[in-house]
Amino acid sequence: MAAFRILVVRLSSMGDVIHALPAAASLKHSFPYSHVSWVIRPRWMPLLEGNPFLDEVIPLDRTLRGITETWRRLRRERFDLAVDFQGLVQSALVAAAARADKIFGLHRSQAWEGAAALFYSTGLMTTSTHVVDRNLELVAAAGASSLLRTFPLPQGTPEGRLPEQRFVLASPLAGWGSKQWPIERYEDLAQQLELPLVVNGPPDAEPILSRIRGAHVHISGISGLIDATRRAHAVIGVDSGPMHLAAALGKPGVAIFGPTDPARNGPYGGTLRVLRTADAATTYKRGADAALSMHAITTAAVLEALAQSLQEKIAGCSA
Amino acid sequence: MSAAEAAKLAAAGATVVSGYFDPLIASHAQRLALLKRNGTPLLVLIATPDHPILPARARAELVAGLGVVDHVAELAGGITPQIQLELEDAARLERLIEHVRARQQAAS
Repeated sequence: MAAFRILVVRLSSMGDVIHALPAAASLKHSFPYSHVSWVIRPRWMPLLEGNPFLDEVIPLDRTLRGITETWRRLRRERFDLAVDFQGLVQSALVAAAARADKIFGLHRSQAWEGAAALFYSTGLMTTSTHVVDRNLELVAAAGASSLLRTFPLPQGTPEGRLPEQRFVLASPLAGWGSKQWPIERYEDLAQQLELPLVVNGPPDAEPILSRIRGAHVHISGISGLIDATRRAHAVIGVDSGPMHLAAALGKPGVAIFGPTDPARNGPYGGTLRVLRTADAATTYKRGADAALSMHAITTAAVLEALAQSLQEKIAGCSA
Repeated sequence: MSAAEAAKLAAAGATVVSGYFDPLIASHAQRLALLKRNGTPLLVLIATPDHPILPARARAELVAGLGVVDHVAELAGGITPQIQLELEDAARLERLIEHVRARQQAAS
């Protein structure tokens, strides 16, 4: 008998791909002997490296040639079930290209682009708040009976130099400037922390990160970031991929929030402490500069939350 | 974890349990919780049946996620598990089949 073929579509980006990992694992766990494929942008493929719940990773390039190739491959392979976690017309088109008997996605009122829902055989109205739980609801609707909250991530590979001793890892950059904590605050952190502060970012972030005096600059790709996060004693993050990576790896630390809602996009799993002012206005508009609510979080507050998070970790280990 | 590291842990007195966990079910988690003794590390060895549903690494990942489990490795020669959950599973399946048969006979 041919395997039941499942297609997972989540093209980008780091945090969102991580948030779809439990749902993809749940599909594989729920459908015995199924074949699970995931379509993703080549840039984010290192996040799926060696994932034991996936049988195939299909890259979707941005070039016309790449798109045509992937399109042909999907038409050829034929899938029984497709789940689009992204909710864009583009991702829905990828799911449609696979000619699956059933295509599951979010209801048009919840999909990022409502028109994407036109391609789904089922547009699900989810009731959970957090994206991880929404994704799990989606696969439950698609027939997954065993919902796993596991984040199978690769080991990562060392890139660049990291301190030999314990260190705190911060990833100051976010997809949009308004989600960032003011860069100069990291200088205060580096001065006041008892452990060395490592600031990580991709190669194009080097000019900004090297302005942070007293911090150890670590430039890496995704694999290097995974390795550094695994080795870090604790992390300090904002609403961006590296923070979600740390949460998925169960790291203690602090997540600083401003414009976005931690109930929906916050760190999953509870090892990171969330800092957000009570009067922060929620908006998903992509601002360029650090939001006022981000400025309102003081260095002292971050240090205190970090100490509490580490305390909780110790308490958790001895319990 | 490598087989050599697992053997070292077993020699140092860890509680060694093997099983298929294909897939992991609630009773496995309960059984492992019962086998966990204070101060003794719990080492779980992942055995593989003839036609596994999930790859060994996926099963190892799920078992490693359980709070009571300290170490996970794939089952290799040289270490003898103290408890074999795969045998317990087989016995339980046998009992279930017997039970269903008995019910069917009673009904007919």
